[in-house]
Amino acid sequence: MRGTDVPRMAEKVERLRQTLSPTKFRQEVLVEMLSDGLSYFDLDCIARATNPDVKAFAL
Amino acid sequence: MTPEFHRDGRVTLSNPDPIIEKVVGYERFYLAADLGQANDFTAVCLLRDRRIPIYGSSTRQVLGPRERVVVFADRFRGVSYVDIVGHLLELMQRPSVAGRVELSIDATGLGRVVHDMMVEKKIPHHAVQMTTGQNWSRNGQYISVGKTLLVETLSVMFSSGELTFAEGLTLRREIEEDLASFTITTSAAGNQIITQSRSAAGHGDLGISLAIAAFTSQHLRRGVIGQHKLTGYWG
Repeated sequence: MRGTDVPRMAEKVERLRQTLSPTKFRQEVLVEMLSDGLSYFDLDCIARATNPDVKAFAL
Repeated sequence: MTPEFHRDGRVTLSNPDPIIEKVVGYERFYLAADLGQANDFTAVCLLRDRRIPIYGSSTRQVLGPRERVVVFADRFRGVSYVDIVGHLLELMQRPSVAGRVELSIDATGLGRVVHDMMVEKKIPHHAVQMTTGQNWSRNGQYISVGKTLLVETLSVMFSSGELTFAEGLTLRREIEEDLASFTITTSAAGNQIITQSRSAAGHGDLGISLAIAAFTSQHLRRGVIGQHKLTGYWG
């Protein structure tokens, strides 16, 4: 049973979502069997991670 | 009101009204280097870690959200360790970061040589050695960090939105390619472990240097001694 299917666990699940990596969350909470070769990082999330308010330094 | 950035890393929000409770924020930098051997790249990443005072709902200042941004990345090869040490020292002395930057190096394997050179030159730094396992500990002059923890820390920061890239960051694409080279593999014992393959961009050097910078900012940063009202605590 997935952690997200248990209403009384909702608060804990949200806390885990913030503290576990996406891969770990899928394994530990969503009980997914992840196959070998799968990227560890959430690459879509990383591709979106731009801060337009900060310019890169030219050291 | 505009925050004032001090040279020692403090960030304040001045207000002449004595009734306003003030808090002190910070701006720090974390420079990390993954040292290359022979034909490999040496990669360097600089992370800016900042919390700025803002006005809360009442007449009190509170610390705003923590913001970590990758503001600089570089890599080079065919450079002697002596020149690398000199270059890192030079980067730390640039006016935009001087006095507010902490250096971490990958002291695994041949990195120990660079660590020894830095100790001799009295350059303050964290010597991080990557090990197996999922914990970290101080081991004499070294900080032993499980590679899984190192990668996990970076992954959580990205997924929680706490870590971003600065606009126009050089080598951004190469960093993303490096991070894509970390994959899940099942060991012979049936455990799932994180492995890293050579990416199109190189050998994961940039990804490792970024992970070390992120780990340092999360686990090794200097503590702040101060007195503040406790808020947001229950339970």
